[in-house]
Amino acid sequence: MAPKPASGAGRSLGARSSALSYHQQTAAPPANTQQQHGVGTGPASAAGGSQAAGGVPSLLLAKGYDVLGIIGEGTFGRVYLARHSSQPGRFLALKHMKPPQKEYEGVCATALREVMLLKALCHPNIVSLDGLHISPAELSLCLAFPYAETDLYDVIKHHRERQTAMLPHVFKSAMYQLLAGLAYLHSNWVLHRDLKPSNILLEQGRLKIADFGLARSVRQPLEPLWNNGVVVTIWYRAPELLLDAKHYTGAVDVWAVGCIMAELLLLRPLFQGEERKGSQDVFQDDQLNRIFAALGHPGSQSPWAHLESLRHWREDTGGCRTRKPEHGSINLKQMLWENSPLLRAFPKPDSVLDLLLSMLSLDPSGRITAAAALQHEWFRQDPLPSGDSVFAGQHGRQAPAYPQRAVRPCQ
Amino acid sequence: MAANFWTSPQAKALVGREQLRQAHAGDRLAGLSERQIADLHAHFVAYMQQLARSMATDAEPLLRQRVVGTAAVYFRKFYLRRDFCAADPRLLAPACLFLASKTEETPVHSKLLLHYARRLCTKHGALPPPDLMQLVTAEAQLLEQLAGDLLVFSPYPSLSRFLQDSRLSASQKTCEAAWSILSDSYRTPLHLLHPPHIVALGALCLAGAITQLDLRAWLQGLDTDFAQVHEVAAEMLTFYEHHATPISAATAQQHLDLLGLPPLPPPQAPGPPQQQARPPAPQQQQQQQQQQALQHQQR
Repeated sequence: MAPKPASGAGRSLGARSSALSYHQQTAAPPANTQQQHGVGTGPASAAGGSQAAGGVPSLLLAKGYDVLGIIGEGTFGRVYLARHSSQPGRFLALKHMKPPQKEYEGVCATALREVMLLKALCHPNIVSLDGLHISPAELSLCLAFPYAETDLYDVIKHHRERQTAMLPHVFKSAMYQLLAGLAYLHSNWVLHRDLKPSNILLEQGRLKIADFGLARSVRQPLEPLWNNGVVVTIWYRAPELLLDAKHYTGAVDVWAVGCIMAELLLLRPLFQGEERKGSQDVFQDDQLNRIFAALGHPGSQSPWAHLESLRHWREDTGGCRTRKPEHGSINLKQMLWENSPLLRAFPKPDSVLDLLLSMLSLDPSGRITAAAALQHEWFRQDPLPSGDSVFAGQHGRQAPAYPQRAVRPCQ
Repeated sequence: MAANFWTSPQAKALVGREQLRQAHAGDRLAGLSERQIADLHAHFVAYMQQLARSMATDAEPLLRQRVVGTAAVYFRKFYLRRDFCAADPRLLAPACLFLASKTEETPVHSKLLLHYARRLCTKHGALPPPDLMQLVTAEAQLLEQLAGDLLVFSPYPSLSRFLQDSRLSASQKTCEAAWSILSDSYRTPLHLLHPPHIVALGALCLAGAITQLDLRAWLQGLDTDFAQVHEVAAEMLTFYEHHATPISAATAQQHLDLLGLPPLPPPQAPGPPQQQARPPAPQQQQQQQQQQALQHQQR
């Protein structure tokens, strides 16, 4: 469980991170756990709530956890690596939510969504909620998850820094499991609405969709979806959301998966738009332009059915109805072919591109569904995807796993 | 949200009558009868309904009936394993409403909720509401006790579908009766015992019987457990015979006095004091009861 700051770009992890070590396939202890004990007896941090020595929230200690270090941090609070006294051999990630700054809000809605949906969902590719702890006295909250050794953000960074490509079968298994988890969510009427590499974990090699703080059940909703405001980090935001769709579907998640697939191929975000912040109206012209540059302007194709119902399109916000010279200038297939050794490693790269482009359809109703994507021919070609560990190859061959996430001491 | 009711945690959380009978052991020890416990449950659900109904701006309700239904299920589930004497229902009832407003994605501000609760107290003699900290603490306790099982399937969409399917939408009397029976059903434990569509169907059958509309032809086309549907209808009929009018705030407070739960301070809001219809219990007696209640808790 490694929530990252919502901005997508910045991460506050690990300036003092430990040396990386390769993860063993068995439940080996995560790196740098031995040094944590007795570290940092300084004053309690300003994280809020009562903190025991070492900065560990007293709620975690009271519930019998042996806290080994910090593996993540966000506005909500921190993620701790821990073991429970009842199962010392099993590592857990504890997502500790700080008490609300404004106590009148009570338990924060993000935590409630996450708890409510994860309690109702059960799938090998969805993170499982191991436990829920609450301190009614200080209004702090802790969600316990099985420890996940890394996430796709770190996987991409790992390859980018070493200038190596992912192994084809690891890539394909990860995509298959991501789509399997998403198909399950959508068949259960849940939209995730915040898919991005840092929210997709690898737990003992198995892919897990995590962070359901923005997810919503859309089975007979009482209120329309848009009353939750803006969703999805900008680089992974579907064109219909950028054009202010009031009614949207699971297709927004499929778009994000398409962006993630391309990012795994390229080792950099596909549509890395510059976010325009501050204004109440969040029209993101740079993001939209980058999408149109690669996929063409909607006006120059047969316009999709509900295009006119999207506010920004109707009102021509930022002149988005007008085709610009750069629109359609990028040949996406060629760009991917030239920049992705991973793509070139597949015997039939055309079917990789076919799946990718069907997830990146501008028209949400023309976009492939997660369930249909699982049936794509690519998943029936060699190498076949693994439903178990993404590292498990055919003929019993095993790919090396990734370095584990950094653990830093509590303080 | 699970794909359907049967794979959801709520299905697994359905309880048997035996478990229901075992609830409130501490309250019975403290001297409350089954009837008084049932009356208190019905009172607090009626309170949540009244409070939700009072929260409206320009006839636009801030909390829909379905939110109240979810809140009522939270309330009933919380007291499966807790006693009134150990967890004050006067704090839990508004907390259930507060939590349900968030989980149903129609959040209301806690201060607004308490504002309306105070008004209900001063204007209509309802029990005094908790303060803000009591409310949010009770919400956290509720979440803890429910262990995060917050997803509640509502019977309202089922009833809506049944009414369309049976073409009953045209007969207004039956429709209205069915909707109000379904709302009243939350004052009973039926929603912990039966799946939502069964409760909806039970309400519809009873509505048909009351308004003398023959539903048999339509019912025969349904594939469902009619024994359960009859059970629901029969239980609702019993409810109307015995508990139709919820007990007053004064009576509820008298029951709570028995448990050693002292009156909450009346709200500061302007309002004539005589409207807080609640006779104070003799102090000495109250202290004894508090001690008794404490002993029960310790056991």
